[in-house]
Amino acid sequence: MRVVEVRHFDEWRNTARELLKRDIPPEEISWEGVNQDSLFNNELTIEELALDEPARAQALVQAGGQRDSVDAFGLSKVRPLLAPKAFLDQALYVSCHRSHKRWSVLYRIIWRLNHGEKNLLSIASDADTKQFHHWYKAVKRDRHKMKAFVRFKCCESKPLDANTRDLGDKSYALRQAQSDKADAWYVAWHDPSHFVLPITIPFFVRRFNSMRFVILTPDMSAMWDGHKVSWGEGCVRKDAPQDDDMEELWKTYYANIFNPARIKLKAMQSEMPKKFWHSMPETEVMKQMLREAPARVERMIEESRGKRLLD
Amino acid sequence: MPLSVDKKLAILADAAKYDASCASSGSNTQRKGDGVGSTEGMGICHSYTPDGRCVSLLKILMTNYCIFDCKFCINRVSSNVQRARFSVSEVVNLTLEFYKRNYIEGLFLSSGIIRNGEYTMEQMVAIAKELREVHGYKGYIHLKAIPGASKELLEDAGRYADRLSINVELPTEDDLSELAPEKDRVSLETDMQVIKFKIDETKDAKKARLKPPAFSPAGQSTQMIVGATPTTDRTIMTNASQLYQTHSLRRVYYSAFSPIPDSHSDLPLVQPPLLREHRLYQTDWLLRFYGFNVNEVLPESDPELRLDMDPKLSWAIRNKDFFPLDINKASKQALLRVPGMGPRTVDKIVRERRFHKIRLDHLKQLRCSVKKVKPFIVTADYWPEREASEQQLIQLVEPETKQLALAL
Repeated sequence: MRVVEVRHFDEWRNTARELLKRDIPPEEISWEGVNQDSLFNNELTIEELALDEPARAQALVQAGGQRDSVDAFGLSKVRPLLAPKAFLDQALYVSCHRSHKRWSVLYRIIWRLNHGEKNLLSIASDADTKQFHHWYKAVKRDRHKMKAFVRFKCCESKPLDANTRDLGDKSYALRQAQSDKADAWYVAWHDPSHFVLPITIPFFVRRFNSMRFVILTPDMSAMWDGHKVSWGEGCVRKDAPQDDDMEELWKTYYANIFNPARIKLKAMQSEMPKKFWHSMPETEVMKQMLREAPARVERMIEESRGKRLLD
Repeated sequence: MPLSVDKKLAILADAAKYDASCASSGSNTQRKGDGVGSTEGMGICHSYTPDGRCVSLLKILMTNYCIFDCKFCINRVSSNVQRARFSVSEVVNLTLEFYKRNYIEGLFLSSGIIRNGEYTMEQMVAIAKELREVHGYKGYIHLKAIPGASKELLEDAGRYADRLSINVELPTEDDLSELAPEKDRVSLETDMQVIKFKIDETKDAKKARLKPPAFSPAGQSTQMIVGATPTTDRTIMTNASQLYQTHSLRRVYYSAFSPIPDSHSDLPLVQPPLLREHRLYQTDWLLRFYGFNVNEVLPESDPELRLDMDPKLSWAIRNKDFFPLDINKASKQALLRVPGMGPRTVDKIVRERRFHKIRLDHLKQLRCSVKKVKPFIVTADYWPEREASEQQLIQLVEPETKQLALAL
C-alpha cells in the first residue's frame, strides 16, 4: 500500500497521471487528504504568499511537483490527463468537496475510465458515478451560494484604523486591505460548506473588476487589488469588519419587499440555509417581519372591510 | 417636509412588490464600461424573504403617484397610500451601492404614471442612461415599459435595459376594461410588437455580423393577476400561450391576487389563491418544456385546474390509455408525459439506456420517485400487474391535498 498526500486538484492530477502511467490500481493507494489550508503553512511567510504571485507559484511547485504555467487566478495549467474534458471540469469541482475520500474516488474513476469503462460517467446508476455527481452537485450548489450570499462591507480608511487594532496577526490580506487609506476596500466574510473560494473567485473578479475586495473564509482568503488575486489564510468571523452604513437601507428594502399575505418559510429556508444567515445583514429583521405579518394582513383586510361598510 | 431616502425606499419597495417578476437571467451581453457589473446568463437569487420569493433585483417604483385608477392596484389615484418619488440620482446611488456589496443582480424599475406615459418613461430612461453612461454600470436592468410612451422612447429604453416588460395586468380584455379602464389590451400589445420588432432586428443584424448595440438582450416578459376576476384557468392559459406565440415572450408571470391595503370594493377580500398560482405555473411549464398544448391540459369540458393534484398527473389519469410506457423503448417526448419525470430524468434515461436495459433499481439511482412513476411504466424487470382504476391511480401516487398553510 502506497500513501500519497494531496493538497489540491493540480497535485492530484499530477500524481494521478504518474500513477496511471505506472499502471498502479486504486486498491494499492491510500490517499491522505491534507486540508487545503496547509497550502499556506509552509516555510514561506504569509506575507510572501499573500502578496507575491510568483512566490505562490513557487510554493506550489515545491508543494506539488511539476507545473507548466500559472494563469491570472493563480491556478496552474498542466498537461491533460487521459480523461474526457467533461470529467476533468467536474473533477475540479469534486476536488473542492470537504470529504476526505474525494481523492481516492477520483482516482478510482479515472482508473476505471482508462480500463475499459470509458462510458462510466454516463452510467448514472453506478456507485462511483453517483458519488461523483452527488459531490459535484453539492460543490456546485455551494459555489452558487457563495456567489449569492457573500456580503461585502465597504471599509473606508477611518473605521478601518479602529478595526485593525483588534485584528492581531489573523489575516494578512485583511490587514493589508485595512492599512490602505487611498480608496475603499470591500471586505466579506463567508462560511462555505466546501473549499469553493478558488473556483468562485474568477466570478467575483469579473463582476467587481473595478473594485478592490477581500473575501475571507474559515479555510482561506483571497484578495483582489484591481490587478491580481492573492491568497492568504482563513480567519474567524469576529476578525472581519462588522459594520457598513448601507446595511440599514438594505434591511429597509428587505422588510418592505416582503408580502405579509404570503408566508412560505420552508421555501425560503431550503434556498437560504440558516448557516449563512449570520453574515447576511437582512436576516436580522426577519423575526420582526414574521411577528408582524399576521397582524398586517388582518389590518389590511379589516381596514378595507371597514371602509366598505362606510361606503 | 421632504422624505428621507430610507422612508422613500420603504414606500416605493412596498409599492413594487406586487410585480412577481424577479428574474435576472437570460442576458449575456458584454457591455462596455469601467464600472462594476456583469451578466452571465444565469441570474442569481441573492436573498429570500419569508414569503418564499427570491430577492434578485432592487425592485422599486420610481414613484407611486399615479393618474390611473386600476382597481386591483395599490397605487391607483383613488387609493390613500402615502406617496413618494425618487430622484434620478437617488435610484442610481442605491443601485450602485447595493450592487457593490453584492446584495443584488441589478435594478428592476417600474413606476406609477405621472403627468403622462411619455414623461414617466423619459424619467425612467434617464436613470438607466446615467447608470450605463456616467457610471459604466454593466449589471442587469429591467425596465417596465409605460403605456403611452412613444416608440422612440421604447427604443431608447431597450438600449439601456437587459429586459423590458409590459404588463397585460389581467387575463382578458374584458377583465381589463372592468378593472383597469384607462388601459386597453390592443395598445399594450402594440407596444409589445414594437419591442419584439426591435429585438428581432437586433438579432438579424447580429447574424449578419453587424455588431448592433444591445437591445433588451434578455427579451420581454409580462404579468397578469389571477383571482381578481372569475376568469377560468383555461381562458388564462389560452391567453398566455397566445402571448408567448405572438410576441415571443420569455416569461408570463401569474400573480395570485392578494388583498392590498385600502383595496377597491369590487375585489374579493380573501387569502391569495397561492396553490392555484402554483398550478398555473406548472401548466405554463408543461406548455413550454413538456410539449403539451392548452387543450390537452385544460379541455373545454374541464376548464379549471384541479388543486388536489398537479396538471400532469391529472392529464395522465384522463388519458390512461397512453400508459404504461416502456422506459426502454418510449420516445423522449412520450417519457416527458410520465407523471413524476422531468426533463432531466428523461435525458438521463435516454442517455443511459444506450448502454444497458433500465430496471426499477436504476430509476431509484437516478433519483426518480419510483412510487410516483411505477403505475405508468414498464421496465426490464417490472410491468404493472393489471390496469389500475382512476381511484387506485390516485391512491398510488398520493398527491398532496393540503392547501399551502400559513405557517407562522
